Amino acid sequence: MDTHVIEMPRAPTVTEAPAAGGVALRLRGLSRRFGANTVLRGIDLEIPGGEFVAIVGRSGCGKSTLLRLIAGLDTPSDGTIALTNPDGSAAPADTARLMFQEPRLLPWESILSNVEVGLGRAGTSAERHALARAKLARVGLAGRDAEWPAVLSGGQKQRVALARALVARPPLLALDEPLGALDALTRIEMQALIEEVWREVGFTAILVTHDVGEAVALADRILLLDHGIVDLDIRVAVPRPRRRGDAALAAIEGRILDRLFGRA
Amino acid sequence: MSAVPLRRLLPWSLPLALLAIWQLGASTGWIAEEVLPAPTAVIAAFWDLARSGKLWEHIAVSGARALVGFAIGGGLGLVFGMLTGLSRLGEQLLDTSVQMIRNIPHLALIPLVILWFGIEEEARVFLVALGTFFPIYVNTMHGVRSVDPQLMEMGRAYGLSRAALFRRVVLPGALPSVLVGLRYALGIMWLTLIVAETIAANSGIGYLAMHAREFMMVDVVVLSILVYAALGKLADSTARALERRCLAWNPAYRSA
Repeated sequence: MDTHVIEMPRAPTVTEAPAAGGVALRLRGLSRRFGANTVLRGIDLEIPGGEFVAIVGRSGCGKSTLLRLIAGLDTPSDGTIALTNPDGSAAPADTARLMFQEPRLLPWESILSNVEVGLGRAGTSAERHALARAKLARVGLAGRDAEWPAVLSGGQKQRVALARALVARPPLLALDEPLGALDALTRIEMQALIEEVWREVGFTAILVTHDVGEAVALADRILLLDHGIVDLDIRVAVPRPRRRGDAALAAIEGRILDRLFGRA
Repeated sequence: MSAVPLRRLLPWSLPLALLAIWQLGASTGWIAEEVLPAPTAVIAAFWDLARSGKLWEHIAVSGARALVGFAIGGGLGLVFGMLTGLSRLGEQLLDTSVQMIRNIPHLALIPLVILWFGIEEEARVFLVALGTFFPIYVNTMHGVRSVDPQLMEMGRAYGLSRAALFRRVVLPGALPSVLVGLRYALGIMWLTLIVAETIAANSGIGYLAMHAREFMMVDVVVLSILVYAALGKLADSTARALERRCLAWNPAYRSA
């Protein structure tokens, strides 16, 4: 495993690390086999609370499997995942909230009630409505509470899915290529929105993506997964907000792509 | 004249034209009275039977049979369809047997049913229940099976309890298919009842028709057929209204 740290000049006002409200992850010897097929081979990883980590790699490199293990949707064949709250206590395995590639909204429930799915059974109905409404407003969909999901565009549906994922203020957000199906402009808008709410709330974010440019634009740190191991672990120390087309970002993107295509 | 009333009237133009030809044919003697009485004669028969209250009695009897049979057959179909749709064990235990019985036309059981129940109410209710069970069963099972697995995964990932998953994901996901089954079942419900009442009954619309046949009262026979048609249409409209209401979230069912 190679570790590259690319230090960039910092502008202190905007590179302040977000409030450390996220859980820390410690993965030890994590493996996942499906029959004879080994997808993850003994992954060791430390992710501090509040970090934004992107996982990139070719199709079938195991990045979605890794995310599903972290999100508690699947159990490892070997190894352990430990989640630690900021106060040092252990967080339960179902701490993570997950955003999928598809919005996966319940088409027969109102937009508001879809967001409330993220609250579990907590709170009175007035409290739940208020929290869900506030989150909908935050993602730019104020006043759309009572409508059916079918009337929304693809990007708007993913906004609702983001509101649903964040409404309970989870300390860990797992994103499984959530923007893969969106058009290029909507994707850039959604990237900005995800970065903004991450900076506001300070959760730990783990983003699986096939788009290296997206990973470089959003993440503090990029993991390149190949054949079930972490092949590259790069820190992106570029100040935020990041400008598209920034030379430093392009250099990191080039380095990752070279590694992916075996040129470095 | 605006286009909207014209388009509303269009579907009725053909039935009205047929009715006019029928009336014309009957009043000129081109259609013999013992073959098909004039619409006015049918209306007169309707008026007589309605005023004496007999028509409503027969409709009430037929309606009660239909609804009781449908409630039993449809209810069981819903429960068994859920069971086989949700659990592999349920499917392995039940589905083969149900599919075997489904291939017997339920009306073929009439001789057996008469031997079991005689010509009492149970016989007709049993036949209606048997006929309506299968469309509800098959469509419920299919509906539950076709619930989006991605939504199920989302529900589990967001910590929905089993009961909440059933209520918020499985049931509404299966509902469009269940309602298709409901419409089929309502059609079979009337068909079964017509046959059962025509063969053996001493009350109900089918009895009214057969009784009138014995006295060559063709107008009452035609009236009975029209009453069946109206009841069938009423059931279908109710099912459609139910679809529009329950599936308002689905753009395909939104009312115009």
